[in-house]
Amino acid sequence: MTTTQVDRRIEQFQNNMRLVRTEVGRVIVGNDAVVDGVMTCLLARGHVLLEGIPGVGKTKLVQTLADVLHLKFSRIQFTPDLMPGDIIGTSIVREDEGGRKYFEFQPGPIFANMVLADEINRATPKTQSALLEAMQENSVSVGKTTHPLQQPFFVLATMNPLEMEGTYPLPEAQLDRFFFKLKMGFPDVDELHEVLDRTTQAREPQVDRVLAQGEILEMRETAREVPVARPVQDYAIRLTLATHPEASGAHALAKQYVRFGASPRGTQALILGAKVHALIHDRVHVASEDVRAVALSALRHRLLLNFEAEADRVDTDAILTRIIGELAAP
Amino acid sequence: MSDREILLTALDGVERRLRVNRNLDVLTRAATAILAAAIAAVLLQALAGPRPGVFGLTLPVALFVLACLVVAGIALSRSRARRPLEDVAAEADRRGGLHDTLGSALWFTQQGTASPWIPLLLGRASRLAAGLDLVRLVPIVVPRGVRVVLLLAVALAGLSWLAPKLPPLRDALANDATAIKPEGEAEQIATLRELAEDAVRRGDTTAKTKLQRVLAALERPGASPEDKRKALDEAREYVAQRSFEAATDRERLRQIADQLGGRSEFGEVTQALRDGDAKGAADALKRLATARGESAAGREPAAAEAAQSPPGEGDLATLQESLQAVAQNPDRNLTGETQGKVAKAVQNLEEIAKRLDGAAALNQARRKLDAVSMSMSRESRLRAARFGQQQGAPNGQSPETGAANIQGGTMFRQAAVAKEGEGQRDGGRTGDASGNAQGDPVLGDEVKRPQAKYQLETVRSEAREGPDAADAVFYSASRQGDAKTGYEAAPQQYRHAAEEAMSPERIALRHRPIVKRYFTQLREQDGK
Repeated sequence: MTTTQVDRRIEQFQNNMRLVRTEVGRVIVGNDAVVDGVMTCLLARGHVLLEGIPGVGKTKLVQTLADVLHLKFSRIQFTPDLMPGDIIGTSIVREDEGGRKYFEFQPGPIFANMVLADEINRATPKTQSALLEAMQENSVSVGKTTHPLQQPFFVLATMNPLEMEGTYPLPEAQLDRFFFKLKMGFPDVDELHEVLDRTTQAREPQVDRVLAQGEILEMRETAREVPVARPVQDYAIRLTLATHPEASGAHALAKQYVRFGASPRGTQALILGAKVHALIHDRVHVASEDVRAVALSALRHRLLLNFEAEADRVDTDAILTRIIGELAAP
Repeated sequence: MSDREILLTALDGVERRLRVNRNLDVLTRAATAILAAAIAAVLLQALAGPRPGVFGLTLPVALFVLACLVVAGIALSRSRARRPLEDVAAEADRRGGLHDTLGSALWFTQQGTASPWIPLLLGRASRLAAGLDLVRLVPIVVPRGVRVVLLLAVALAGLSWLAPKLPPLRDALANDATAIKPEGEAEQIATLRELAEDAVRRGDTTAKTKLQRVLAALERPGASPEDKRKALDEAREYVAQRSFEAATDRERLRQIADQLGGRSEFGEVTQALRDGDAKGAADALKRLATARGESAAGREPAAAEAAQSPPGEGDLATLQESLQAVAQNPDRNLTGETQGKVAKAVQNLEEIAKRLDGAAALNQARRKLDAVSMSMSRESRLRAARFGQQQGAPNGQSPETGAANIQGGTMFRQAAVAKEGEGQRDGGRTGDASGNAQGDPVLGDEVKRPQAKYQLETVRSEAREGPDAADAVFYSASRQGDAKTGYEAAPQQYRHAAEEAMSPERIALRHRPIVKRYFTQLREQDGK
């Protein structure tokens, strides 16, 4: 690949991102950071966990994104009685023309490019595990057969932080599988006006499909090629280690409130997310600023806090914000 | 020029300007240090006066020159050191808001990574580097320390102006200092020598011998402080004895005056004797003898009688006897025998006066000896302090309890209390030795607990019968001690432990009330 080709691919990447933002912006009001975060996950081959109170547009965002990206989309509403087979599919008995019976695999809703796992914490851990295995391996095993999932395979799980009764919160090991955890905030007054203007009229805004499957895969490859200098990589590692209470470079807050720090998968998410962030911001290298920009989304669900943090009502965002603010950049 | 060269050239420029700023800072610090040293030198020079030091320079000036050389050396070595280019690139990125472009480009140029992205990055970095406005990026900044330098310069100028006015103060301090400086010792020795010569003139051979012995000990080359101290102590003892004798003589003179009674013709003599003025009394007695018509005929037997007694004896008993004889003589005119008594009394009084003068001179000598002794004791103060430290250090062995190496010292007091009689014991409280007592009811002082904690140990005596069959009770080192974990840390650790214990439940703390309520409701429903 020549420099010119790289230049062209970067330009194409940014054009595509611009188109996606524009189209999504027709439906979703505000939440630009969340849209960028979701796109970053998609392009970094990760999955995203969306958290927000009911009605802020989590599901709407995912549906809109699926419309814009021209990908096969499926939605699974997680409930306590949802079974793994309901997600991955099942083998049914069929009969051929000769009257012989045979098993045929009927793929479940997970066989799509973009899967919306709505209210993932309402399903039982067994069902959650079925989804999470697919997320990690990009394939589904039924009986003796392994069925690969079509790429890009992208899971957006939503979680409601308020109604915890009758839910099965995701264990830390499964939370770690998610590339980013994004929080959708409540819109301000102007944004609420805009939401009402768009959604309470006879015709709601429609979006065009602007990105095809091949273009997304190409964008993924481009993002992976962005070079990272060692000092910046070192910064990402120091940032991760600062969350470990037993590490030598641990931050004081981590020592006080964190039980387990971010995993190496968290560091991978930092660097990959930073690469996409750098490209979005027209850079051909990863800067420490890119690492800082994605640090909160990449690490907030990977920190396990101790009892004292819960008692003092300290959350991971507060700890990470302090660490990011105080860690010396390269 | 390649992208790499453009980048390196720009970084060189940034490094130069950063170095200028750093050198300004170093120079300011150096100037601060040198000016401070100069101020100290001026003050020292003014207070200590010109004294030869190193290489013909006075000590303050020599120290000042040394400080300047050290500071100049440090400043030179720092100013010559170049910052690594990686640091320079990071600094330029930070100052210019370049998002680590220069730093990353520099790193990739050093690594030689083959990727089509690197030329792209280098191209962007070189364009950024070429467009850098170095003057705005790294402005030359006057360090804040310059204000301090200016203040110090003003202070130095003021002190230089004030320094010539300081000699009176210096002299005053110097005069005061002679009392404690070793040079003062020579002065005191000279005074002692004068006193010894004076004793020779007065014929006080004992005093002369004592003082000369002290002088010999003080002046002997290689004499140890201990020898000097011994000689001084011996001399001081002799002087004290002489002073005591003089005081006794004065007391006896007062008693003699009382015995003379209120006879008017002896008024002057009596008064002089009461004042302890033997010389005055002798003169008054002479005048009295003259007034009573001392005849030439009577002089010769008187002189003969006076000559019969050994001269210089100064016996107070003889004086008393003579004076009483003179006082009891009913004749207005003195006879030859009485005149002899008067002459003898006068002679005795003169002898006593000489002894008193000698004692007064020795008293003066004693003050000088004290001064010498004081200077010697100051010299050995450090050794004394060290000795005290050794004495105060914990001794591994306790005389009463065996090997008890306890922080805070061995239990000497406990041993002392044990040896005291029952009636002398301080309340008979066994806890006193280790500081367990609340306080002494008589003295009222609060007894401070030692750092080490003790526990009471009782050892049963093997001999269960007889007067020595008492249990040995003593305090030994306890396994109890200061807490190794602070109070604040302890609840925290407890919480961690509690959380660890509860974690298998997999129910977060905030959910537990909900779960509890759920089951409580179930129970209530079951009850219905």
